[in-house]
Formats: sequence, structure tokens, C-alpha cells
Amino acid sequence: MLRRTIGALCIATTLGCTTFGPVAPRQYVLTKRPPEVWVWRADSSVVLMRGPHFLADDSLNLIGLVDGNYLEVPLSEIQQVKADRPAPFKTALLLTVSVASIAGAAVLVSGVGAGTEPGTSLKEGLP
Amino acid sequence: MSKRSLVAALCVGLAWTPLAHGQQGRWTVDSKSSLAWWQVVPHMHHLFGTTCPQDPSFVPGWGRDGGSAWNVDVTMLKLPEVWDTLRMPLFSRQRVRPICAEAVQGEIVVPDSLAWQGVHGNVVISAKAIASGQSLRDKYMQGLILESAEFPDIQFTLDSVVGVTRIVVDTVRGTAVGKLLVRGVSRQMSGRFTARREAGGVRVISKFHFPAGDLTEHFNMSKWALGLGVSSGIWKDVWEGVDMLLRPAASSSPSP
Repeated sequence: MLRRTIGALCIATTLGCTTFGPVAPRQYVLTKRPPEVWVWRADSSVVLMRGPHFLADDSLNLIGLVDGNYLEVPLSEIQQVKADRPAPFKTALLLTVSVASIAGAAVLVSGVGAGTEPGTSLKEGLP
Repeated sequence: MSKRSLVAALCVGLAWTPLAHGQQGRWTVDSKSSLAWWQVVPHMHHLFGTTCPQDPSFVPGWGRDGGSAWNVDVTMLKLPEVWDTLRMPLFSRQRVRPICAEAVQGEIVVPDSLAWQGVHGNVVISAKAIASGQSLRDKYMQGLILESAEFPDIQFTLDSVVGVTRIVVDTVRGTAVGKLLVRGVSRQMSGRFTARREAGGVRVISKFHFPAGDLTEHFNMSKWALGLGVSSGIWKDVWEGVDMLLRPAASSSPSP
């Protein structure tokens, strides 16, 4: 039981919830290497950029594929970048609700079981 | 994964250049700023390559080696559902950068930039420099298909240019005519080219194509090595081309 609980916690922590929102382009792309980000450009256009990255010797231009075409966008021309990012609060809330639900269900089940006579199955104890 | 990687021939050609009066003369290829590429139709998300994988605009295809700067699944890209040649090559470079392996060398002579008479030249591409982004696939192509140990170079001999027209002030288009030499076998080829001023020189972009069946029928490449892609007719066409920066012969080395 303990092992299962720990395992569930590990999975939840690893996967976790995500939220879509603004990120710091350079830091986020360099550290997370996301498969895609949404780019709001200075000309008010919004594009989905796949494979965003920076060149080793050039951190001023965000590089990626837009509609399958290679594109370099200077950071100075980017208003903001949005992407999926970890949401620790949502993850913690989900965990808390899940644990509480499981615990509550366990209490209910054990309570029903306590009302039956010893040696009588749950099904047999029902009217 | 495909052991039938590819192929081919790359090569090619190009054209010449002078864009205006007084630019006739001898032009050499700036190797660090020049590349050759190939692509099969249909590309199957991996049948394409370049001699300049260092260029950031080249995206390795499916099954690429680890360590690529591109964290993208090419099979997810918005590609035409019907195989066509509208985007040829699939990933052309956006701007010239002097970062390529020196795999393309050559010289173009332009005696007359008014009537474009007598234009000729030679472009040599190192077969061992052709890369698709997966080293196993590249070694297979170089060793068993191109047999680069015995035929290290792919060569395009430019015999003439025809139909040259000026598109804008510093850009001309035309057709380059010459011979492609692959694995010691030559073939007459012609293809469109565009030349324009860029990066302190003249950038020449040209592409040619031939039926994929010619890989075995004409260039005598191994049917066994190429596999079903060619023998069963899955591969339709082989395209190849160059994206070169030419400089006047006297000052051909450095890049700005």
C-alpha cells in the first residue's frame, strides 16, 4: 500500500498539471527545449513555432519552423511567447483532492463492512 | 529505417552570374558559404540531405541522430498531402552564412555578360560530405550507393547558359546547360537558375531533376543497395541543386 502511494505520488509529480501562459523566451527555450511555442510578434501576428531554439553563438534570434518553413525571429520583434508550463499549484490541488477522495471512499467502504455480521459477505448483508 | 537512403546525385549546377555590365570574368565558389542538396520525390520525411548540415535552416528528417538542435517531429510538419515539387528543396536556407564544410568547389567563367555567350565552368561536390542527419544512413549512401571511395566527387560541367533574363535590377534568371558526372557516368542536364547579389558576392541557386529510375538505369547504382524504393517505382524523381556564393576569382576567399 505504501509503495503504491509513493508510486502514485511520483507519477503525479513527474507528469503534473500544465498551464498555458507567457514564458521568458530565452530561458524557457534553452532550458526546456519545448517542441513548440506560440509567438506573439510585434506586427500583431501570432504563429505556432515548432522546434524553437537558439543558435549556439546567437541568442538574439529565435529560430523555428512556422507552417513548415524555416523562420528566424529577432527577440526584439517578439511581444511575448506562450507555452505549456508546469503548474505546481494545480498539481498539488489535484493530488489533495485525489487523496481525500480515495480516503473518503475507503472510510465509506470500511463503514459498510463494519455493519455486517462476522462471516457474512457484503452482498449477503444487503436487503 | 531505410537502408535505402539515398542517393544521389547532387549536384549541379549553376550558372553563372554577372548581373550587369563589367562583371564578366572568372568567378570562384566560396566553399564555406556554398552547399549542394538532394531530395527524392516523394521524400517520405527523410529522403533529403545537404552538404551543409551546419546551416540552421536544414532540418534533419525522420530518424535523425541525437544531438540535433531541432526538437521537432518532421512527420508532424504541415507538408502537402500530395507529393509535389512546390517546395524544393524542403528546407532552403534563408540567408548565406560562411559556416559550411568546404564540400562545394568550382569556377565559372563569364566572358560576356551582355549576350551571355561562352559562359562555362565546373562545380565539384564531395560525395562524402553529403549528410541527411543520420550517420548510418549517410554511410550507407556514401559507401554502397555513391561508392564514394572510388568516386569521391560529383561534378557538374557547365557548358552554357540560355534564356537569361533580368528579373529585377540585381537578379537574373536563366537555364544552365551542362553535364552531370556521378560515379564516373555523365548525363546531359539542364536546370533553371537564379543569381542575385548577396553577402558580398553573387548567390546562385539552381536545381535539376531526373527520373529516379535513372539511378540504376543510367548511373549504374546498385539496385540491391537502393532497394524497393527504386525497383518498385516508389521513388519518382531525384532533385538536386546548389546554393552557392560566387566571388570574383581574385578575392574569392574571405567572407564578410
